[in-house]
Amino acid sequence: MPKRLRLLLALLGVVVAGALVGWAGGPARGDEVLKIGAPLAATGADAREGALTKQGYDLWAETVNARGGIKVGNAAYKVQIIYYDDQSRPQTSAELTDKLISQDHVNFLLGPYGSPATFADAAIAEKYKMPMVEANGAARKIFQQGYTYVFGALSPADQYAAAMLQAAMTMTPKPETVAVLSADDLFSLEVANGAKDWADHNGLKVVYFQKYPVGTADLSAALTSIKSVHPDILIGSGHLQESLLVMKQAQALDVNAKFFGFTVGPTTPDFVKSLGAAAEYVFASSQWTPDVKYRGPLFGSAQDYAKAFQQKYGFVPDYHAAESSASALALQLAIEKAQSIDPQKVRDALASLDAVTFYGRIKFDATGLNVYKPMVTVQVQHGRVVTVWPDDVASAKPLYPTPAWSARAH
Amino acid sequence: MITAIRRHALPGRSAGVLAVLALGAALAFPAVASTYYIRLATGIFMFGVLASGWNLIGGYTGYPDFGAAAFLGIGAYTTGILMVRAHAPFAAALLAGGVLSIVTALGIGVVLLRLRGHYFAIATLGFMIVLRQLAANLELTGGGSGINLPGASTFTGFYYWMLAALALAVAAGIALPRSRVGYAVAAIRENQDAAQVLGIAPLRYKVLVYAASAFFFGIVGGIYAYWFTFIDPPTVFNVDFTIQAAVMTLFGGPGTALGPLAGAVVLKSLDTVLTNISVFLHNVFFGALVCLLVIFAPRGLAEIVRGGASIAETIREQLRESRI
Amino acid sequence: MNAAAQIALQNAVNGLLVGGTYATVAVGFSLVWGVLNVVNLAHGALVMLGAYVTYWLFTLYHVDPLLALPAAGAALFALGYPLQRVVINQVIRASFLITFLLTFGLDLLITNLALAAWTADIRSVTTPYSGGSIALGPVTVPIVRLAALLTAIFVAALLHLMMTRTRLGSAIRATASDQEAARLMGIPIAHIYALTFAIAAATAGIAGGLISLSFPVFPAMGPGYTLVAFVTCVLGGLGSVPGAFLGGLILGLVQMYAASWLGPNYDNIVAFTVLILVLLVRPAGLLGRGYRFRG
Repeated sequence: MPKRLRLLLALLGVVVAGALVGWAGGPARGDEVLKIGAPLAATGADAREGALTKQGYDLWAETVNARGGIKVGNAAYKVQIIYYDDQSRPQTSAELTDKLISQDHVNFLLGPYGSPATFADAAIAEKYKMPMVEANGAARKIFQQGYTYVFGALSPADQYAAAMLQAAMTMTPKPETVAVLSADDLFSLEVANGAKDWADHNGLKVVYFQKYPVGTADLSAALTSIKSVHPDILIGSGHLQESLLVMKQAQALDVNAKFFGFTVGPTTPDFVKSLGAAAEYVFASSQWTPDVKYRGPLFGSAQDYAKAFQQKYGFVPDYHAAESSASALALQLAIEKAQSIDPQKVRDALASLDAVTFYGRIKFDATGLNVYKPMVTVQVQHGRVVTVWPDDVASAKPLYPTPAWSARAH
Repeated sequence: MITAIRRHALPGRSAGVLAVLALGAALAFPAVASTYYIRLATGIFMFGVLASGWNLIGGYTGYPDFGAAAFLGIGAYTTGILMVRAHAPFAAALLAGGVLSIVTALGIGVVLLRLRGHYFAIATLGFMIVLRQLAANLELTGGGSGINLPGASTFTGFYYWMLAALALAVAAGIALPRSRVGYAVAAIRENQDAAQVLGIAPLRYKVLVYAASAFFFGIVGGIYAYWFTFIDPPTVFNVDFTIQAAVMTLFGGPGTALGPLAGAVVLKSLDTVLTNISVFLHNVFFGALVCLLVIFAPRGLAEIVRGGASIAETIREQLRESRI
Repeated sequence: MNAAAQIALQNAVNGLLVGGTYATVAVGFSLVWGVLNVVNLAHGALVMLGAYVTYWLFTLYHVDPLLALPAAGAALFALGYPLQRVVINQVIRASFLITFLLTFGLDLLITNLALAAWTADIRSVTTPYSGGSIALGPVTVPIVRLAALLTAIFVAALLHLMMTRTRLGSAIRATASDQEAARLMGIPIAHIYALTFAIAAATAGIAGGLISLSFPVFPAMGPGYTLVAFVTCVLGGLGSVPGAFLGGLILGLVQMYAASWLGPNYDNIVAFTVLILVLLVRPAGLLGRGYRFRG
């Protein structure tokens, strides 16, 4: 039947077109270009954080290319980062990683945003024996799989809470109780469990420990229960959206604590913008702030990096961008150390890397984790994020205890 | 919209030859294609299975199951848990996942299939959401952190598993309307009360077909879990799988044997093309596509192709029937 | 009052306050379902648009969201009429799966257009009185949520009056109960359908405006509210404004107590188990009049 045939041919045409477009994607391979793949969240739940990550990667690429590229022997490689939107979905991220490796023929991989996506991509990188350096997936689980090609430049998840609690314990009056409210995703749960462990080993009593569904819209019941146990410290383990929710609802329900601390959120510009005055006094742990006193190759000091970032993007960078730049920088240093772009040689160079950069010390333990860089604690003061702990990098004294809501001017 | 229940003849010899050729090509494909295309094909097969499986309860029986991913999750977690904690080999774990899906479907089916229309749809969706939260709360399933399955050594195995599942699902789609159960559910789909008057006990047949559909979602879940290595509640108990299966079935023709597979091939390929063109807008295109499809080809391409008149005429006729 | 009782009371208050918002979301959904027999999966997307209307009016022109609610309602009304008349109307008599999928496609479209226009950044409206609360004895009542509940009651009452006391309301109800008879009576069905949908969209817009006051606003926020609307309608009964209201309050209370006793990670388990039980035991819902289903 001619109609059926026409339809069939039309369908065939669509499929063939798809194949051709897929094949044609990506620029031609050149000897002077180093292609680096990065599946990132541009849409979906992690879009905001994904955008910050991309800014970090882009700043590195721009800076290194302006310098002439990565020098290996007599050649200088310009870097080109190929991005795909993984829609904040781990399985999409894995598929895109596979595509980057087998279709776009990238030389190396940079990590996506988020632990679940990083975990999924790591398995692919390992399978193809392609080095992947990430700095946005902090879950230790990623590094307990025996992978040898995956490296994480950031401090692991359990350190987030430890940094905040350690800071809190240095303040007077010394807190005695802590409430932990955590989203039930891979990263947040590791943080929460890390908080509980630290508290148990350091004389802090855990008076509340609950988890909630990721992206929940209401936490009034949890906050009502927390209010009734009067914790000194409230640790919120989740991402930006959830941190905002906790603070907003804590204010509306008049839930007070001496120390409000969050893992992700307060350091991003959106936090202060959305909460206004309610953001004051909030603590957070941070992988990095512009106040830290490190300096290193390419970017110079932490302050230099912050200035360069601000010049390009118009706001002070938070740690998401910095750690992303740092992971790319680690890759660059490894390539320069190995003086080769052979994956195996670069992998070995990464494994033995020990460098101090604007971000801090980058050295990977046997599992690929950077356990050599401490985290810092920050606080929102007068609408700005300042470093308050440890003392040697603090740019301001912590404001503690947090005044009750009723006592605060609006 | 009462149409006569078609008497299905067995597929002719030419169809059989074509099927063998297609199968042969599919079996040989991994030898010539790159990993990216093998992976893509596996993804297409996966949705082919899901669509064909969904078609059993959604198309043939007229009970659109919006919680079908519940069984994908059951299959995924069963496979994962058995492989990680009991060190079971993949094949055994996969089968266990399929069996557990069937058992669960039989159990919950007798409850859910008493509902009709929108209520059935939302109740099945609710069932999936309940399972999702349960998985997030239990120690056994790893809670919100999920489960990490052992890594597979090569990828090609998944291609063949999915292909096998697809062959089975398509065979089920061919066999069902020609069986006693098939006649019963066709009658139920057209007019359940009339069918009941004629002596067909609806619940029994609906539950059987529901369980068959669940089996396919279950084994896809198991393969998916081993393939992607990491599963957590929102990834596997995800309504997107169900919606895509439903749309693909609709596109290709509900209540036909190959319609869902055709829908899966075209829509998944289209999705890939769109993603390559403009990552950001591809969802917009997909949404528009679904709208256009539903308005202009509600009975799927199969119906348009089968109709005697031109494509435009067929569309116009359908619209006349469905609008005010 | 001892601590346990205080928590229970506070949870009741929280539950009712949240329930009021749920009710406003659900009331329009119930209208469309009861009259057009369309389950509008894009309802949540309309709520999202309403939230953005108040957000932008607040951010750009400093209009208080409560004052901007009529604007949100009007904007969504203007969107809803052509949406129904031109698009959804094409398949209004087809099987429910078709309309289900069409509204699903619309939801996808609207959500992603919003994403392209406003990015995935999460917005919120923080008015000077945003964090305020009133202490009523042992309970703390957040001002914003209280305002939302009062507005919800007002809107629902207005809608109910419209449906029962005006000619338009009679026309809508006549069309809902017997479309052929209504047509024979000279009622312009397509127009009534479109008007009903527009009114429902307007309530969705107002609900969105209320939501923007205390919940985060972002393009993907829709589906959660669509689900809320669905469960609320099942609980409270279709085609009844008081029913939707009651359903919303009940859902709010059930979720709040589930979250409090079992933990926030159990709220959906309880809500949906209740839903399935209600569907089996009393499918018409508490105040509904029995469901219509296509044969």
